[in-house]
Amino acid sequence: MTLPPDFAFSQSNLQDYVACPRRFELRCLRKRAWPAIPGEPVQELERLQDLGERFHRLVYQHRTGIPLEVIERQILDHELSEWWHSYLEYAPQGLPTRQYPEFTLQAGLAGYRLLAKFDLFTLDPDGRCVIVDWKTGLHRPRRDRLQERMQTRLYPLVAALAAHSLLGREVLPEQIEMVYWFTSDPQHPEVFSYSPEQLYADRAEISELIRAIARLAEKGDFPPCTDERTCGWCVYRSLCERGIRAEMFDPDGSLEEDPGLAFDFDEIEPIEF
Amino acid sequence: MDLVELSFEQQQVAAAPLHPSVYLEGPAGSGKTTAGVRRLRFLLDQCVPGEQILILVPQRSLGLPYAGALADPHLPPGGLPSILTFGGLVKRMVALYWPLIAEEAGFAHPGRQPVFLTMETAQFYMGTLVEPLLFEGYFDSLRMERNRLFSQILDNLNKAAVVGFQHTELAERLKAAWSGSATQLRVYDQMQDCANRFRAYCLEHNLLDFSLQVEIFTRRLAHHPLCSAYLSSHIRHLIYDNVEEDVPVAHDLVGEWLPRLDSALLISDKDAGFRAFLGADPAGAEQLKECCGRVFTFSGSYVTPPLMQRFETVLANRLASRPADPPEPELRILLQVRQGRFYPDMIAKVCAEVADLVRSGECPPGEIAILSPYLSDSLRFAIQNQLKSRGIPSRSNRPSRSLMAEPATRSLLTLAKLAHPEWGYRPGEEDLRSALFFCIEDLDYLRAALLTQMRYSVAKGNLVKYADAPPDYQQRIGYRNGELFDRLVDWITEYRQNPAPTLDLFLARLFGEVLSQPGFAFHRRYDQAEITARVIESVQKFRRGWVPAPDRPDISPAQQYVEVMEKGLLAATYLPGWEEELEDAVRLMPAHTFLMENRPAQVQFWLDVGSYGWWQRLYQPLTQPHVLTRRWPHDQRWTDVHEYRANQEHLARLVRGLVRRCSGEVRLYAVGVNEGGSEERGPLLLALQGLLRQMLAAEVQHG
Repeated sequence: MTLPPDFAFSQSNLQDYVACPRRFELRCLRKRAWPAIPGEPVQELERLQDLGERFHRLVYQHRTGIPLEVIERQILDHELSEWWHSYLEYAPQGLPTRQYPEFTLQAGLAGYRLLAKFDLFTLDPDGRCVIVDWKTGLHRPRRDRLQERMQTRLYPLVAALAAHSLLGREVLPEQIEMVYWFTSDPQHPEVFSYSPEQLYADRAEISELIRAIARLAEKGDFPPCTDERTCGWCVYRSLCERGIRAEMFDPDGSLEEDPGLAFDFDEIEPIEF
Repeated sequence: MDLVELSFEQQQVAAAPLHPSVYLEGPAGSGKTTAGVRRLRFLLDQCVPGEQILILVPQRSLGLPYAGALADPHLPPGGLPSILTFGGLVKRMVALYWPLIAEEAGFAHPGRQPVFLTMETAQFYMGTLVEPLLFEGYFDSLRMERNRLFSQILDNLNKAAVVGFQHTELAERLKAAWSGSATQLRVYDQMQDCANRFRAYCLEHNLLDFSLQVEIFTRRLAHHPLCSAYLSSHIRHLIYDNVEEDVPVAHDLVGEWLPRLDSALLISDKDAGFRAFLGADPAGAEQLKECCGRVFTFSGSYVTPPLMQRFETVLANRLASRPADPPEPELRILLQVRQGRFYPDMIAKVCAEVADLVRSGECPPGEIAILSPYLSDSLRFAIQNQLKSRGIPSRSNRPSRSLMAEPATRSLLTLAKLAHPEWGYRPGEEDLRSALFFCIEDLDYLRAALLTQMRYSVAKGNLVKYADAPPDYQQRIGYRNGELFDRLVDWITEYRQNPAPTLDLFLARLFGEVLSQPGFAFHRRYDQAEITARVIESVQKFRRGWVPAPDRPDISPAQQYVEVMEKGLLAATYLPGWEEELEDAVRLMPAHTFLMENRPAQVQFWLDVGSYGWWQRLYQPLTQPHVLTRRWPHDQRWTDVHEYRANQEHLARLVRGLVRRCSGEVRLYAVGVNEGGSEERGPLLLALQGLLRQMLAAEVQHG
């Protein structure tokens, strides 16, 4: 098979590819449903997923202009209430004035489309651009781990390539900033500044990833990942004959310390197993 | 943008100035959507912010050409246009602004999240409310499946919402138009009572069926300052395709938007309105035309060859009883109806012709459509099987395919009952035999029967291990089969010690830990995985919106799900995404589905043209699609004359729509005895035969 010309690359499918080319093929290219359990305890995962979705919705409602007292009528859950109050108190301040919550930008690269769906995309008329991502995982990931994430590479790149369409003028890489804000550590957001050098590097790296994927698609041979420890959190484990049961995710977050066992709630397929 | 390959008229539409609004009309195949897609590209090339463009279509499939255009990697970078149906827009707005309107809309728990019902979950809740009433004698004069009864009450609620009248007026409107026996008036009153109860129940439990979403949006949100400002700032440019297939309240909304939009292109298909039974209002589209400053009319066809166009004209004239010259002799080949005595004869002939077309290279499978007024399971199965045996791929987008009809679903639910003895549902021997036969890859039916007979006790609801059976018995079953059976038994035994809290979790575990492992039938089977995923999704949706019935407070959502599935109350399942279907496959579908897919075919096979199904509407004693519209005068009675006229118009419209989506030829088939065992000579067959007679008479006359 060949990579369909209308295929769109996102942070999520690129991350899949980086983690396991076979998973990318099954989930993103062939769209194969494989309804096994991703990890245990799955109910807790589902609860956190649901809470995360509700938090994102509240913020969206807030950024859309619905009065606070109206929004707060629907916060009946204690944990959500804590997150919400942290957000009100510590959400990034001094953001650019034009705000686009839940906003998607697209741009072309290496003959394919890149898509970035931002939690909050903000712009000033002078080109200053801050991308905010609300992270609702149990633990705050380490900075070096975040730095490696495809999201941290792709979002500023797409902003650099496409934000001019919103302003009618160029947005320089050094004017772009990516901010991760954590419900688990609301007072310490992680900020990544962008630069022309980083833009150059990201463009080259992501272009190469896309070309590599296109080559593999042509050959029809996406190999499974070499580190089988991560298969315990992959729904396709039985398809690849790499295990029977889902592994427990580590509630204490020690997995975050193991480079091979990253566990990111944003990467869990929402409730589809 | 390169406009060279477009016609002059298409170029004019695509590159028209932003002001004034443009209305484009013309028959199917005249290049309207192509012009609309190019208009979209024109706007983006003109640096119109993509996120300010809305492409509105009445049905998801009709948005695919626009989605294809937006997938172009050479698109200018920027925000993305939205492609939405009116229903999709409504749901988004209701979800976003829920806290603003929940209380004033009358929901009992405005602080809690809303539960958006699917068609199947809405049917379930309607069922829980109506079933007790059936025992009180409601609808006792009707003989119909319960599902259809529930869906017609929901359909009425939807009609009230999309037409824009109070749901409490349903019976009054239907009664005012009724001209038959007085017993039907009581049926309408009972329907109204059920509709009212359902609405009250939804408000009490934060449930939002489609009708309630539409009502909340049109009556409360669309004009709320916050929502209105949001829509105004987010939608500056509109491309509205197939306006004629959309509902009146969607037309109202667009009518209000038009004066304040920066640009608008409305596209309407002439002689269409195929979704009238769902509330589509072609006359409303005509009214929108009046609000547009510029009107373009396309004619001709890029799809249908001249001979087919003449075929369409003579057939439509005949159906409309318009005087016309006899058909020209060249049409004879198109008017010929191939006869088969029984359905299997017809199916065999059609499949053989399809095979000839494909093998000779005359027509690829994707350019062939096999169409019938309805598509029963048996017809679908028979045709798909025959095509498969000839190596020809086919696809069937039948609007509602029962999940329970899938052996995988039945097997999963049988194993669920076995794993949950506390529910008190013990699978019967036949169910278990089928499940084992289906789930263990190489187990044949006889051995599955033997395993069931020897290792299962219906009374206890228990499986006993193969390893503990006598040696001669083990030999008959086979070691490998026995080992797999024991793995299943062990897994269930262990599971019973620590059962999953929800049915979807059970199913996901069963799938991942047993059925998708080597030796079991779901191993590396994407089709079975897909069905399992849909069952899980269906269970989850059911569970999340579940409200315990007052008379059965102890029943779990899992138990109730199994019950209602087996009763057929959750029969409707989700369609596969249209775009995910095989591209180069013979399309096997009801004629209406084909029309709404809006993708022409080179060769169309029309099955059973003698069937009245081509002409008359479905039996719907609780509703009346012609009366529950804005066009029907309140004080007028619906008579047989109206019915006859409506059916004739429906057939003429259907025939036109099909022929205009045919780039080669139509092949017609009739049967002596239909699927139900009776002989039918419906109006389509009579019209075709009448034309053929007229042609022959003219030939005789001219020597």
